[in-house]
Amino acid sequence: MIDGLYSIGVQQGYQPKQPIAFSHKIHAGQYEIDCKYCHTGAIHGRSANIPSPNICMNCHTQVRTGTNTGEAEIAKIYAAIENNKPIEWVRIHNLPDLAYFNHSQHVNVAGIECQTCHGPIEEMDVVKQYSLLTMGWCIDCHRKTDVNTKGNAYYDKLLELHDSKQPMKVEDIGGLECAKCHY
Amino acid sequence: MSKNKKTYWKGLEQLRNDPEYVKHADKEFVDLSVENDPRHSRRDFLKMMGFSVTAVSLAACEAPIRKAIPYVNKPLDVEPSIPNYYASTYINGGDYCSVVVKTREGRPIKVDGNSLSSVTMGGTSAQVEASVLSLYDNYRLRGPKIGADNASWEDLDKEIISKLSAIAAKGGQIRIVSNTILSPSTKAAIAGFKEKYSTTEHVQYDQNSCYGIAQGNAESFGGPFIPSYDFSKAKVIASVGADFLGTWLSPIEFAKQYSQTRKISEDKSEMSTHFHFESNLSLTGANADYRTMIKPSQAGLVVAQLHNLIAAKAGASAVGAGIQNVANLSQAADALWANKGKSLVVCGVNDKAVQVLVNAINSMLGNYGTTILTNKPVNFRQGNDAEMNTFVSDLQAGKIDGVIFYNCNPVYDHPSGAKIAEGITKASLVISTSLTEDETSTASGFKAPDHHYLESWNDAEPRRNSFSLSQPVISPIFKSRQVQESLMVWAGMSAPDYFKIVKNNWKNWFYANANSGVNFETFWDKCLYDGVYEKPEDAAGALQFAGDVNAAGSAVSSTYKAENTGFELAVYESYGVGNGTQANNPLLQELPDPITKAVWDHYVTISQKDATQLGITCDAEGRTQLVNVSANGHSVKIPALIQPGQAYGTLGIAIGYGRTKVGRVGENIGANAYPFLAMVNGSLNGNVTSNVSIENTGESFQIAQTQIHQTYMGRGSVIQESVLEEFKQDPYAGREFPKISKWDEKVDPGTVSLWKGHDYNNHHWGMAIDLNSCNGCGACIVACNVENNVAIVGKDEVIRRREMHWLRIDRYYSSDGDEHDYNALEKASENPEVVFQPMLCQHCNNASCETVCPVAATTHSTEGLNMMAYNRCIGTRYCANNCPYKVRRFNWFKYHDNQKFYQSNPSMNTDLGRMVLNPDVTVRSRGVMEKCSFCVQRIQASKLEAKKERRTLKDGEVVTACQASCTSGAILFGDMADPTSKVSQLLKVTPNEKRPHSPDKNIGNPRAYRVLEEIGVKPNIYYLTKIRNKIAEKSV
Repeated sequence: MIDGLYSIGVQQGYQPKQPIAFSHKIHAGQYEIDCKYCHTGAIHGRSANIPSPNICMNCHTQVRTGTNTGEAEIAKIYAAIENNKPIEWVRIHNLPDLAYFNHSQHVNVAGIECQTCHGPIEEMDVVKQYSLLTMGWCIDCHRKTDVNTKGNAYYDKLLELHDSKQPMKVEDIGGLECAKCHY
Repeated sequence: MSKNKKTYWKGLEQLRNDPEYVKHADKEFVDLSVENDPRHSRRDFLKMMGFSVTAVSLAACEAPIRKAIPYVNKPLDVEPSIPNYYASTYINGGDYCSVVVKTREGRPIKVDGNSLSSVTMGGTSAQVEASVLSLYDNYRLRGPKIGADNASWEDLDKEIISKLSAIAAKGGQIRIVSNTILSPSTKAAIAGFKEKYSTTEHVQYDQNSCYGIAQGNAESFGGPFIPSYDFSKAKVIASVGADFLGTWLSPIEFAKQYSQTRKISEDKSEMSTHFHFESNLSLTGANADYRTMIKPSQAGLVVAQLHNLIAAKAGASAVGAGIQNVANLSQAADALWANKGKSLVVCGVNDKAVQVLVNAINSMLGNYGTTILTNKPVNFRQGNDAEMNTFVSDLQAGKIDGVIFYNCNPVYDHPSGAKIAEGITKASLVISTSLTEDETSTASGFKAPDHHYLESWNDAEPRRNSFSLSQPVISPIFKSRQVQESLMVWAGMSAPDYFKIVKNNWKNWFYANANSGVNFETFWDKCLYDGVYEKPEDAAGALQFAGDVNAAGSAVSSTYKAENTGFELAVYESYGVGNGTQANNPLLQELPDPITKAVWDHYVTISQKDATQLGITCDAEGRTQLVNVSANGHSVKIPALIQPGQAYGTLGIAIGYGRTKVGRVGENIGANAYPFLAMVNGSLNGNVTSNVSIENTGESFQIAQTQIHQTYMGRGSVIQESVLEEFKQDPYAGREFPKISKWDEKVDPGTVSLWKGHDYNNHHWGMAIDLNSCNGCGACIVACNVENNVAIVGKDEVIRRREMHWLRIDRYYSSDGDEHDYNALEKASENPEVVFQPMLCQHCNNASCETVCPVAATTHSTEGLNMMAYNRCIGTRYCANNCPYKVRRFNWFKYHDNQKFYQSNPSMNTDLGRMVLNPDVTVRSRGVMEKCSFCVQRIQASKLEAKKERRTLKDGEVVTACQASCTSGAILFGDMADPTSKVSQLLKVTPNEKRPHSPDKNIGNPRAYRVLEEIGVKPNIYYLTKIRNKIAEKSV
């Protein structure tokens, strides 16, 4: 029963139907397009960004027929641009407003692979929420993960003062503190 | 009838008298066997019921589907979640500030000062900081209106053009009425309109007129102008009624310059001396070293007397006016004379005769060319009171056919407002371009709303040869139109583009002569990026003072009186609400007045002595009486507020209140004080010296004040102050060193602790607040509110002490009481010394709040921050109770999405208002504690930038909102673990050898102290002692 209570609001496995049957399996898996080609914000800022149709059009001006769906789904991109009507994707990963998460800290600074949190996205035709996205899940990773200090002068002083017998975990430099995510 | 007695059985069991039945017969309810089942208790049943109901309801209301909607075509320079900054210009009538606007996803959310401007030098004011919320004012006009009906621009233009043509055909008169217009391109647009309609005249007026100063200069130097002043070069400043730090002329610029003369250290122990003569206790007066209370009727004589004292030293002749026995006046004259060429005399009295004398004084002191720059005249107040009066009388006489009220509201903010309202009914065409439906636009037939300044292209010339640009930072929210374009359309131009016109003007005016060696686009981009453009200065003029001092002297002696027995009224501009244009801005309504600490209220300030005579009482809860004040045929009924420092026999009333049409926030607060203004020696003057009456109605009224304790009761560990002479001899002057007793000895409070302290391996955030620089203005409060989504709670809640401000400025008056007589100490002096102390979370290393939180919602970080996790807080309020500084604020209500706070807190209760919220800061809910976070979102953002660039964090990259807004530079935030940081340098931080990363750092600056040092909580905020430049004895 307690476990049941803890699962309230956790949407692991959430796999809603999207307005366009976009397949990550084809784009990220088969064609090996880099995630950050479309999700441009991941290395710059807080949100990874769902690509705007003008990014889709970089390829789809040429590619007019899809592997799975033929022309129907790709036509929706053209329609969006023609009608100047944005595509309303269903948001899968929902953090509560009280938690601040920044993609660039994890992707750019720490160099974590997208799949670490988002799972084998390159195998998913329809994306689902792979991880728990609970605070416990965040903390767990902050406890276990070594800080990527290589070539980053920001961490020099912290490294110098760190007990060198143990690798420096995120936890050791304040990664579990409330005001790192809650403000 | 038979006596048949029927017997009823409940059932066969009873009939049979079964033993099972008999056993339970006396019980109301039959026991259920399940009750006796040891596996299921009644509590279990409730639990299961509770859980299953919750589970079912939770399952039923699945998390709502949330959409993520990307742009169709993402603009290149908008990256979601990454802010953009644009240089622009705040213009509100003649008030000017060069600003940098922060936008998120195309929404402006914060306004900061632009340090590239040579005029405002990165400073801001409360009104500038708050202006971003005025953009999202729900009361703004949605589009043009004809009469009371919505109209399209086409229809409006058609009607206006036909009316204008009709007026032109019969040779009728047209007037464009505005406040000061700083923009040369706008003036060009008006000139274009005049070309088309040749009977057009442009009339400018100012709510806070300085026409008398311009006229005084005309009489002294041959042409009307207002010079630049440079307070930073003034070693002695004497001001007669000029509130130059608060509201006079260019307060941001002056506050910046003034603060430079007030910063001292052991190495630079020189500071300016500031003499102030005034009736109301103003922000500037509160900062003066010597403040003398005078009546408005004496102001001209004080200037004349100062003139005579200086003239005596300079060998010039005296004028036939003067006043004896004004405290500190001869001392001021001596000090001014001793600092010839490095002194400055300013006067806020809008009377040309007085200003001629002021000019004569400054001329004798050789201040022209050093502290007064006539080659750099300023344009902040171009209003012409005489022309405005002519306009009013012409309008009343029906001589004017068409009026365009260009972003101004004279029906409200001109003393002849009622006459104007009456007069415009006689004009055939009345247009108002106000953004909101105000008093004037309601009376106007056509409403052609302008863009907000954050939606506009514009330029400004605040000072000769200093220019600045406004650029839109958001596309227009409503169907408004730039007023310059409106004028051009009405003048017959088809589809004008003001942006192109401004750009073209700059090409012709500046680029053509700049010889910049780059093409125009590059030149323009640079101007737009910087927000400002400076032309080379004109050569310092050799203007010779040629005023007729004797004529001025006799004019002064006939206007002013040394002994006036009746009451006098000094109308002033309030610091927060200002001239009333932003009265619908709750950030300003809830900004405590720097002096009275009152919010949401309008009042008349009165001295204790006069109040006693009138039987007016004010208690500690702000409960007072309503009084009737009449003067100049106008009468208002507002509460009285007893104000230490108010000259006897004088009353002070602020303009900016009593708006009847402005919006739900600011409507009907107080009374309109503009009708009190009257013409004196040819200019509008707020000083009424005769026939002023005040009458106590006895009706009670409660004024909301955020501070009700007036003095610090001799607590030397809160405010530590001294005077310059003592500081020069001992830099520790004024410091208090509390000791605590151990069983055998007395030791420093920091040496005994229950706690082992924290290690700060990387950063140790700290703050230094210089009480000598802080002038108490409160811009930091507004900046903090906007940055941190602080709720505005409204008057009733403030009365209940529930204001949410994370940062407050404590204002303390000195007391004449004996240091052991606590009752006497509570009473402020009649003319008190004033100290302002910004008070915010002190981020204590041994924080007393952290130890009492039962759920560890407030904890300490490895960077020295006292953190607050809202979602963890259960609202016991133990922390607030245990905080010695009382800086923790509790959310008594849900201030967002709550109709109760719709009026006071639109930024959390309307769709439009919500656009101003900072998306990086949580909007707090009911029942949680909140407090200053040291702008942790900015710390984190700057750290992340450094990490992304693989470098260490540089000093100055993290700037808290309060620091950024502080024009005086009183607040300095930084990393105390970085020995090169400014805060470390200022505080002279050295590591404590015992613990290399200890919070117990050694602070070498002798002026630095921590508030309430004796309780040993070890704050990370240090205050620098207040040093006054005066002789140690109290001046009378």
